[in-house]
Amino acid sequence: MAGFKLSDDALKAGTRILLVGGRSSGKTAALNAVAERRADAVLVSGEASAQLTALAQTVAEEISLGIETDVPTRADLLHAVETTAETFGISHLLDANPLTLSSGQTQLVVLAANFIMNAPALLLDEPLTGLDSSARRRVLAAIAAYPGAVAWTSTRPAAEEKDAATRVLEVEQVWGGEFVSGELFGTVEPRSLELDSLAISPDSRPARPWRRKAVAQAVQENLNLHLEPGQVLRLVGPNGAGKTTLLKTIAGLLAPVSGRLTVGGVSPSAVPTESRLELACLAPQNPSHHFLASTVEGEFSLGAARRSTDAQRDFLLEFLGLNLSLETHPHDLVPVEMHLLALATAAAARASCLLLDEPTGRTDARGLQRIIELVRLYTQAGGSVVLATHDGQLFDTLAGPVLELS
Amino acid sequence: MHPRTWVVLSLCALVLALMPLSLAARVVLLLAQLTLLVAAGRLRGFLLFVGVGLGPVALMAFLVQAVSFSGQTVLASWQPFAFMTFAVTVEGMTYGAHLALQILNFGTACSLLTLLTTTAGLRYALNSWKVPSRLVFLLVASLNAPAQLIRYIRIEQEAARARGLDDSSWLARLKGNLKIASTLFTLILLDHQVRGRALDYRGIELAGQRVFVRDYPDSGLQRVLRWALPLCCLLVVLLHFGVFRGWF
Repeated sequence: MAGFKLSDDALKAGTRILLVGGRSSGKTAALNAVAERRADAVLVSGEASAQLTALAQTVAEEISLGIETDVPTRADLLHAVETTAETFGISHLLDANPLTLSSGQTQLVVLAANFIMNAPALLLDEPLTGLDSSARRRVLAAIAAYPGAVAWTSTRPAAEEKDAATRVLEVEQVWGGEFVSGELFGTVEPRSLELDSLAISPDSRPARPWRRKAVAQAVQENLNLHLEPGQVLRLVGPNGAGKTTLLKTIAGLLAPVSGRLTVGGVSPSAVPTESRLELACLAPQNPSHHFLASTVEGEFSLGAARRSTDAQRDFLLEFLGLNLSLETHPHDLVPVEMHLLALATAAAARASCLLLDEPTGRTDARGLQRIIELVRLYTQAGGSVVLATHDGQLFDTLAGPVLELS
Repeated sequence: MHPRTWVVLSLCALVLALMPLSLAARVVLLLAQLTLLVAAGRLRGFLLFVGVGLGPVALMAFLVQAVSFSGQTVLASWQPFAFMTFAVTVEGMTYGAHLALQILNFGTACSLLTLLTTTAGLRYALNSWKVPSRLVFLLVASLNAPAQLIRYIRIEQEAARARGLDDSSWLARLKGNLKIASTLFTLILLDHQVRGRALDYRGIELAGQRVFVRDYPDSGLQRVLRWALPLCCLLVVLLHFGVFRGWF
């Protein structure tokens, strides 16, 4: 394993250090080492939702928490909060509950809450994960304008990210690898996906005998789409536009507010679980909230993942580089491996429609290639794939229709 | 109302709930608290709390005392075994009612604190009274814990639905919930670790006067109430312990 070493001399005010490397290259470990060494450093690492304090009712309170003892008056506090929110483009969220935001919005709130403290050294682990292009530019501008030292990690940085750094420390990533035959992957029941004047909401849960369907405010309306088996739909839009909500609605976890959504002529939210998972299966954006077993191997013995045979399961694990981690607890995997495991268990369900929510967050070059090939295998096996992504490389590599949520 | 007023109200209700009041006084205290909850529009949340936790505990306390208290006026008796006799007595029912009302009053007083103040409001109130930051955090985090637990349970339940765990019957759902219990615990611990570090960086335990984003409107009446209520409670306590006996 290659290693990065960040000395205190390197982290002086005004320096912007970008650490670039793939899986297990030591980027995060380098930041952790600095955080342990320097009492004046602030480390922003880990799941964004876990970094919310859960003590604030609004985003403004969340952002202000770190400077409550630093400012003399409430006017100063409000000014600092509003300025920081403006910097990150989240002024419109100041009165929102932080726990109800999308993943990208949560990431921005966490960044704002840490930037506002103006710590001498700010350490950011993959700060651009899950952000749309506009948000990425804002964060990079904030990094460039930061008065102290900033060190951040990136697995596959774009040119603008490297341009923002005064120094780039890089471990070379390995591309390539042979194309793997898909025979062992098997086939998937082909069904088309239809959206007809669909309106969706994150609060619209399917009705149950003990729960009536709540009245929900739609976040997107009049969505129309026809996706044939074997096609890949690329779902794009700014943070908070409703991409995850749409994926959950297709998966049947949420009910449509109005309009029609069918997979093979059947509404996923209106059928029992067993049937629903034959229609569509979701690999979520936050894989740590997805695991239910105590081992990697155990994840394939739960729910719809049991549909795959042992040979098909072994193929998926080897294909995604997880075959040596069978006894590992899913939460002990590195973030990129968590994403790959979530993807593997969703693919193992062999649903007609595979739904991927930002599958390449923190994924290195080899992981990205594997995901692209898995998508191709899935479509060749007869299934369709709906992919929500901000990843430019993934977007450009895969062909197919695009649905843009504004 | 100002968060400080809610905190004072609930603390006074807590003190009174623990006092050995008459049955009528206990009923009046409970009704007064329920009136506050209704006025604040939080009765539904409270009834959920009663249904799940408080109510069964109070009912059990009443039943146990009603059938096992050694009273004189027996209304009914039952001897399931030679060595075991249950007798429902008037004295037992009275004592059981006292205990049940005390439990309900105590729980309702706690609800006044958790349902009528937000975590931010509670931090504001406690900080204004110069309570140590660490203690403020402990109190606020503790009161916020049930809401956080419910949030994590919903996350895990959604994951179970997304993964296709069997939910075709209540038994299957029960088995599914048991299965996710251990991963729920793991997830909470892992997030707690990350959250603890984040809170440390944000200086949640730093001493000193804090400035808050939100300003809560106060009034002269509320300021008077915040003094008058504790004094009245103190008076009730002193009266109970006979401090003023012989004065009148």
